[in-house]
Amino acid sequence: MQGTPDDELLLLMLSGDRTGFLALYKRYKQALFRFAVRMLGDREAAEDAVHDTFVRLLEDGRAITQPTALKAWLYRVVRNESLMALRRVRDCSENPSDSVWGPETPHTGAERSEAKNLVREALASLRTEYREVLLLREFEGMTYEEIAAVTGDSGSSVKSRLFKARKALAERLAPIWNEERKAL
Amino acid sequence: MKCEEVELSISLYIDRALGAADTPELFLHLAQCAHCRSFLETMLHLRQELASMPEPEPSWTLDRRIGTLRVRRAGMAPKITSAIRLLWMRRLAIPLPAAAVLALMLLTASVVSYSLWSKVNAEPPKQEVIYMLPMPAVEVQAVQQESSLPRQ
Repeated sequence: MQGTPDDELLLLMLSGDRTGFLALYKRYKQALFRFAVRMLGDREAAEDAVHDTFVRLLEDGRAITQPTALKAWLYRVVRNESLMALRRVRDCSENPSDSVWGPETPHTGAERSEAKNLVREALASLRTEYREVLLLREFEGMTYEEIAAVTGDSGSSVKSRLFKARKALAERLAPIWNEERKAL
Repeated sequence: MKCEEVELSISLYIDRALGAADTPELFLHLAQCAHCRSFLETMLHLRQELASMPEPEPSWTLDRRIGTLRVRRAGMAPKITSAIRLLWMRRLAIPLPAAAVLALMLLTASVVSYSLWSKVNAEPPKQEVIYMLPMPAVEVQAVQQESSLPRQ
């Protein structure tokens, strides 16, 4: 099943064959979990999001009009599940400002963390709409068009948000990295 | 070219999304601008740091939860509502040893209750019916006649 294309596995699953479904799960579970856990910052909630994504695949798999777009569909669902989980936790506490940063700034997080966790802390502190594009680009290796298909935005919006996210991280982390270099 | 525009170009460049026509202009600016060179260096360092982050692994419980899902044949089973799904998959999910103990307790309870029920509903013992036959009238009369005779 390793070399079998997604669309064939999907058709196999839709015909009632369990092996098709399990092969798709095996293929995507790691990537979807990686994305969800970095979106949510919580392993258990991330597993719930991945689980619910595959339940949705079983329930609504027939609604995937283009089997070749399965990857984007899975990421879109796990992203929506993650956003719903974040809303439940934060209850929309994020201020609707234009800031790139979320409620907890990376500065406060960085002060109490070790150097190796600086990037993780800063990443987790980005607002979700900036964090998601950075995760999809840096960890999932998606193109701007693929990211746009997942988030439902335009390619230029993705490009702009990705740039802002990177710049915000650079502005926060560069002084700390510079101090570390001087100390060495 | 302004530094703000160059920073955006750097972001595109590291994604390999910068047009071939714009690349020489970017490098020309970088050769002259220390600020933008520093920005490029930070961007590359950020990318390295992100790439070196540890890979999170899902736990085995996710595999187990997915393993319990059933694949439907096309157009057969009704759609599971999310509420039922939550109830079934999360609220009622118990570990295997606990499930085994629960099943054993249920079995014992059912055996005990059945035995009690069978005792309560057992048939009552049969009553003995004794039929009394009356003595023959003739014999009675004879006795009476004998008793009325004068003794010798």
